[in-house]
Amino acid sequence: MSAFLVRRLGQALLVLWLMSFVTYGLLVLMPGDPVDLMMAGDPDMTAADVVRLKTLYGLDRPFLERYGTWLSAALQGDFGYSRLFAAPVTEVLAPRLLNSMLLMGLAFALAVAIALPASVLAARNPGSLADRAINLLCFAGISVPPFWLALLLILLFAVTLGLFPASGMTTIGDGGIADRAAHLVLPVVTLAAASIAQYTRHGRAAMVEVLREDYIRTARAKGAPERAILWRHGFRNALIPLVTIMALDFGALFSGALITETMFAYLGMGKTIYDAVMGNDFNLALVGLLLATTVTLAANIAADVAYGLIDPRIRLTARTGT
Amino acid sequence: MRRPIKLFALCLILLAASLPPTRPAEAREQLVIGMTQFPTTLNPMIDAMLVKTYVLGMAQRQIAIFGHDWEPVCLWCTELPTFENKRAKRFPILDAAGNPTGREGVRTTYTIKPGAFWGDGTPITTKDVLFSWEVGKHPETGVSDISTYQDIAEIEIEDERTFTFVRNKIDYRYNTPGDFDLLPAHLERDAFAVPREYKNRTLYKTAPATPGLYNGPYRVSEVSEGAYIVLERNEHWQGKRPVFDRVVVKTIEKTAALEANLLSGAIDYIAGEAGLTLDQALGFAKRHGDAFDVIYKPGLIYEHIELNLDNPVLADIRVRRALLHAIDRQALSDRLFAGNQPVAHGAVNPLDWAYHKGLPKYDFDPERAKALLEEAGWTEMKSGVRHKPDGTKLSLEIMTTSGNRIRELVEQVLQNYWKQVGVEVTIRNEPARVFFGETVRKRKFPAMAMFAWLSAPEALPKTTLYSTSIPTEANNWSGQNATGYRSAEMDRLIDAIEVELDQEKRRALWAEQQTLYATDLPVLPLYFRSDAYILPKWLKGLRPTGHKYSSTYWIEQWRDSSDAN
Repeated sequence: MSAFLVRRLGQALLVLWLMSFVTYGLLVLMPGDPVDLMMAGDPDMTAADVVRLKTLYGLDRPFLERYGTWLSAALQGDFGYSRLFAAPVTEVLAPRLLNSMLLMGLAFALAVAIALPASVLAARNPGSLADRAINLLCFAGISVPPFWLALLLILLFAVTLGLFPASGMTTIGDGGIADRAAHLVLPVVTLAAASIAQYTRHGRAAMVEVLREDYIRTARAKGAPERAILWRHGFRNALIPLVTIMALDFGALFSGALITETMFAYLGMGKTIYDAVMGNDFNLALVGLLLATTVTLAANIAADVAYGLIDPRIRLTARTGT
Repeated sequence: MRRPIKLFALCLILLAASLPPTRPAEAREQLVIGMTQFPTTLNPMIDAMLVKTYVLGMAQRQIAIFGHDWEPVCLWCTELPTFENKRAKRFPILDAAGNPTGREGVRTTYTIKPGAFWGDGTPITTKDVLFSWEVGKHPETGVSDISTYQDIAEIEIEDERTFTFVRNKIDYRYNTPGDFDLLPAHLERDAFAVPREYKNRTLYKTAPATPGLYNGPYRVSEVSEGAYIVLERNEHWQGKRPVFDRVVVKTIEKTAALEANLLSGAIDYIAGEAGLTLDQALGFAKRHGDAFDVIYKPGLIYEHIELNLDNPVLADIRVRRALLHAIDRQALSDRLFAGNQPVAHGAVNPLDWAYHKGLPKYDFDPERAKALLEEAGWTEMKSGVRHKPDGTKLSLEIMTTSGNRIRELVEQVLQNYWKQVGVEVTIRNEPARVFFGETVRKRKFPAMAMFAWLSAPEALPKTTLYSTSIPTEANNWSGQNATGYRSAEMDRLIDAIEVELDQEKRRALWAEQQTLYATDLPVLPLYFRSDAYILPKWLKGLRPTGHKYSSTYWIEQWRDSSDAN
């Protein structure tokens, strides 16, 4: 297990380094730079101003030199300065990463809490009214665009009923736990909706398949209680493919978070990375994208570990081909 | 499974019941303003940004700005210098040997108003003026419009409140300090110890709630980066006392969410300067107009189409004129913007005193457009598109920023108008960063590029029309004359306007300049953009300006009409 983890971490570091190089290259190749964008909004900027500012921001240096400087500083813990936020990148990203992790974690937990029982309920009696209703809701959950759902929730729960705040993370001057929780409800529900539908559909499919297996029939023939058959024998085996979906989805939550965070003016990573890319904020975009990659890699490693925990027959080392 | 579902529903109900009410209290000690962007910094010198100006309009006042009538007005000065009041004086420029060079400079003297204080009670003095100049003119500070400071050759100090700017060049803007921003020397000097690091070390960034950084009716008391800025009354403000104890500026980037916040009462007012676009505001007014006051203010945002004059088709002035005659810009404004965005006949806004009423105008006249195209040799019609006898097709490409819904809609309307006179126009749009960063900057648009210019009143179009401002590889793509317009007469007029101090003589030069611009048509003027202000019925006294100095510079005149006082 430990050898597996060390190997996977090593691979992850290599992938991160490659990602940093490729991402840096892509950001450099993107047309325009911060000074060009400044110029686009200011017809009074002179040619001399442009040259001076490019030199000041180091934009006149070759790609490899700039990347080398960045990497060397990053290895010493200095991830540079965000041009957009005029603050060190770590200062900008750390609180936003925590905010995003909280939002994503809660959305993930909500999705799991609803999807797992729903998938079992639907799979227990395929074709039943409950199954069809759950399928319909899943279809809606996958089809509804997050921004539309967000607007619907805002209009219903914030504008019409006044139950939850329409946006932000806390009420200015409050900031208590209840206030923070109130601000989280609508974004969490929005972000979780698609995941709930996705997990439920996959969970149901896996459960239906497992419940057709011989060992389930054998267990039933032996007179094992239905609850035990469903949860101990069926659900546990159905979890293995579901864990893969969930692990991949956790990384994908970042992209979903972009829309949710924007709609609810929630200060998270998704929107920050988007703004950084669009605003030519090299350091912020680069570190933000690398953090998103790290989260995905970590989720994959966690999924590998979870396989072993769910089913001890799966040898982790075997999956790496050794 | 019934029990868990019931339990879950019960939990939800209990959670909802236990949460605090989200609607604000009825008493309006505070005003919550929503806007779509967040300032990158609150330092007045670093990064020119509309939303920063908007916030600082409440907290940080300059020496002088443009007022509602688009004329310069003193904020921290007692009066603007003129030759008549002897606060402005010409002087001859001498060479190293002390002989006159034939050129003239100007000395302009300002006095800081009595009762001018920073938010910590420290008086604003000439020390602050000197320090601000030192910061602003340093090439490593990162000030984008450094010329405001570098054009001042010297500052002569008379006493704690009176100082004189010495400029080695005299031009028509001689008596305005431009965007000369004041910084509190007693607080910011340490941060400027290493000029290159100043933008990172300034207290406006590291400790933005420091009271002494501000000198307006409000001071910033809390900043939540990317989310909101709280402003409290500045105790040391000696001017008219503003009505609200607190102003909160919240950033909500998605305009649909911004609307929902306004309707839910989470915000009181959406900033006209950085809120809903005009089409969104028109839609909002249709749905909820009864509950709000809606003001449309045309301003200094000039939407136009730059023509690449190196394109042989567009090099022919008859084609350029035909393209403009073929568009019914009034109908376009009426139908898309309910007539709230006035048609532009040139780059100077009719609200600007320099506007020339008699400039050539191109009415909607498709027959005239067809005749001009015939005259230019585009005579053969094949499949509804004009061709030259040699088979060349009259096909042009228009580009703009992708994702800008209203611009994309305008493109389609224009495409249809031009089709009616036999001009085929294809649309190719790009994200703003590519469009501005590469295509416009390097003049890579093959025919037409649609975008807007923002400017101040009576702005000299030196970087956009001067022949030496054409971006080329040789000058590292500097300058903003993307059309490639070369006119010795335009260069002469720009030079003449710049040094003409007599307003009436300048008016005549502006008239010539606008006439030439409209005659040569290096661009197709479309309309002047309007900002839409959606105000709650109780908020009175807010007057949009239409230029870059936002309505917040007069926030002390805003009032709550429901307040008995």
